[in-house]
Amino acid sequence: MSYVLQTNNLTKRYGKKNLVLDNVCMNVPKGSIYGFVGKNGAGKTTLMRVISGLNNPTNGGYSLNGVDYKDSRISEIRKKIGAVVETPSIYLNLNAHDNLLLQYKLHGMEPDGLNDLLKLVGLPDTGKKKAKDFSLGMRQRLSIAFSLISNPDFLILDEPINGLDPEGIMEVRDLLIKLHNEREITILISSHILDELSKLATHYGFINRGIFIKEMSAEELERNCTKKISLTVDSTRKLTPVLDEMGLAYTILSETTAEIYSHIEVTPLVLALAEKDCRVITMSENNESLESYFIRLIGGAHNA
Amino acid sequence: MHNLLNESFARLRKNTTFKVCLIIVIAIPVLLISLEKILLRAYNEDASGFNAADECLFLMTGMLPLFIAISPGFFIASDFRQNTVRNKIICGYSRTSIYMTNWITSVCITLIFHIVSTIVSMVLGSVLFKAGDIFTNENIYYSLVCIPVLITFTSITVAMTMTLKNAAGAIFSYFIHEILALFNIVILLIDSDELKKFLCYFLPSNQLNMIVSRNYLAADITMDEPGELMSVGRYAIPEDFDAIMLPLYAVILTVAVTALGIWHFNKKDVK
Repeated sequence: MSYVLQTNNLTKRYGKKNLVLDNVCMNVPKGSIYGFVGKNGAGKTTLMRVISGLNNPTNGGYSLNGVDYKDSRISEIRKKIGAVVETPSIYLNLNAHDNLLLQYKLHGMEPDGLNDLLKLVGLPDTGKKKAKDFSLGMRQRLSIAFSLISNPDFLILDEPINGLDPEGIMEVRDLLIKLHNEREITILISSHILDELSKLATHYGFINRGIFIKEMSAEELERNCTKKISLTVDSTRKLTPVLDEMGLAYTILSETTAEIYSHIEVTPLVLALAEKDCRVITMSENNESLESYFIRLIGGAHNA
Repeated sequence: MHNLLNESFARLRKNTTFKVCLIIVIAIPVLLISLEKILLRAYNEDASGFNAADECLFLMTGMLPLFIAISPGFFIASDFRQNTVRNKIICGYSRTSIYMTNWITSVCITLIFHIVSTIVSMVLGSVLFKAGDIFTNENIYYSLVCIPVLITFTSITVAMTMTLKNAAGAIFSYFIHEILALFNIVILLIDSDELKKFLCYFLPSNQLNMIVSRNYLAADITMDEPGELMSVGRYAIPEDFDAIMLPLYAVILTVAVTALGIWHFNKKDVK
């Protein structure tokens, strides 16, 4: 399998104490939509900033299309990479057309496909409206258009659906699927909205507090997302000794709710709980979502 | 870097701050010279002040650091404020070429301001007054020396803005100039003549003072009547090696400040 991005013990430290990325080893396969999952402050944006060239790694390194980031050829590789990191980076006093025109100049390209690109990102009729008057979704889409000018083979998108309304989220999602299918672009995308990510991603990487926990394909994730039993009881403090005694894998979600991932027989569990004076209020079986898998992976809701 | 420059100049053409500053840079000499003419007419041509085109030559030079801080400074700062500098890094341009593009664009802005204001002053001065001795050795010398000194000011503004990554850098660079200009009298308290001379020639604020006054103090001053100052050969070129020191120090400072700015910009993360 060939990789578009490989990080090798990538470490980023702000100042002396603030360790943001701790020896991250991540591999983004060519042709994948790589969902990068982590809570706020986990280090997702920092990693994207480092691989976009905005930040320098403190230790370790990374390669893009097999070229080390210190190699002089990296400038050429970067020309085929598009990135939208954090807030949209656009000229607010210019309209969408002029913004794109400047980007074409930056790439040294003739603006032949400018109108098609505006159409592709859904901004064909903005006319003379300046970018400062755009909605967040429009700005986000214009940023994505920037990143598509050079016909990139790798797209880095940091929280591209942040702040978008449901319609906007759907539009961006459809656009990304279209780009991936039609242009075979590899996409590295981070998002908090994990259910939305699960509609796109073919591969996943999980990060927590700067430590890269795991990476897997969507198929592996599906296998790992076991069926779970959601339980509401009068007190989880009475529940935990019983579950520990029975050797079950579980996550306590609140003082009254918990999720059990192991295969269980309901009757012995209910009897054991009754013996400990723990009252079961509701019990339901469902498939584990990406969200709860992530919470389980990082060690419970108190960590999320 | 060619593409970066293309983008930068295309953006400059649409930059409102640049256009407003250019209008002001033209308007100030027009207003000052016109006002001087009105005053001279009102006081039967006896009023002090300039009355020939060559005296209007460096009319705007002393004010240019302010416009350098505002126009190139804010132009660069807007790239950081809107985070559009990211697009250039993501595209694969080296930070050195991004810095140099900003430097070249800024120097061009400065030269446009300088050339336009000088031409306006000279032409209007010639029309409203008399031509005077424009092409004297002193005028040619200071006109040429003015360019590296203004480039030094621009380099300091670029370095400060690229270091602080916002308009505060540009404003700060102007404040440094103002503070130095305000306190340059302190130099007179220094005993060492060598140090005094070095500071006079090395500090851009003092260099600019020297250009604007065309080394007025170095000219021969005689006292014809008690209490009456008469200046003879009013402007003067610094003697011997000192004449080269002025532009040489400006070039040294420009190279040093730019190298330091590039080093810092390469080292630090971009927001």
